[in-house]
Amino acid sequence: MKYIPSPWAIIIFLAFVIAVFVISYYFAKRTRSSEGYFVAGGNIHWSVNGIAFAGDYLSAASFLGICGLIAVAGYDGFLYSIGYLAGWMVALFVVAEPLKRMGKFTFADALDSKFNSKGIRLIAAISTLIVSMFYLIPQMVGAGSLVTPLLGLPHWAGVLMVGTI
Amino acid sequence: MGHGPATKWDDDKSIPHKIKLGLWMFFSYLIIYGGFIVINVVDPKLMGTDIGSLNLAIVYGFSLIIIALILALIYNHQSNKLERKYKDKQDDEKKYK
Repeated sequence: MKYIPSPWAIIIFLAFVIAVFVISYYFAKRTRSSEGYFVAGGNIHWSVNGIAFAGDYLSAASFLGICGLIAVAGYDGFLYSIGYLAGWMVALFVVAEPLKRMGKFTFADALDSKFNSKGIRLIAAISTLIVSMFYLIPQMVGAGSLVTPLLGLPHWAGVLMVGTI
Repeated sequence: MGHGPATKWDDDKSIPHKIKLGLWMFFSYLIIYGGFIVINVVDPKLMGTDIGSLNLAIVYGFSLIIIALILALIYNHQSNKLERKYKDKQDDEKKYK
């Protein structure tokens, strides 16, 4: 299938990206602590925070990955979407409360405060980078697949854009 | 931005209750989710059984999603209630000291 680049779609896309950058820059400058960074100082209602959280996770992995899995693997793909959710229940019922008690927001911070070891900090940093890298690769491929029908740009342009951002 | 001591929480006496509640809910969900997995492993064809216009897989799977949401809301509500209850108690104790 051949797609023609749509100037309006590209303008709207760029405006959206710029708006996100401006908002991020403005609020990043006002952030002074990790409490402010992760939970906005605890001043946001849980329902609003939940929507923001959901927005974080409605990614290429959820939209394209799970839909693609169901399209390719059928029912086996559907099982993945349920398992994905079950992981959240573990995080909510078992992990959230101890993290809150420690006053920490990430696993790396919690491990650091518990063990205070340089080795653990290093391993946490390396594992975070490895996980992020393997998460970013499908995001980039997903974006590449999306920009072709949406903006009419070639696949590599989407990969490059997301990689750069 | 420092990642030092992030927050200061007051002495929270509701913690043991919240942990107990969380574990109860976790194991309850684990049993329901385990049932879904066991059926898929042992007798996957059972998932094709018709329930009205849908099949068991869709009904069970979507029920898991809805139950997760309901449990999360109950956990949030109960945790807030427990925190308020123990905070009120602490405030009363401080008042009468």
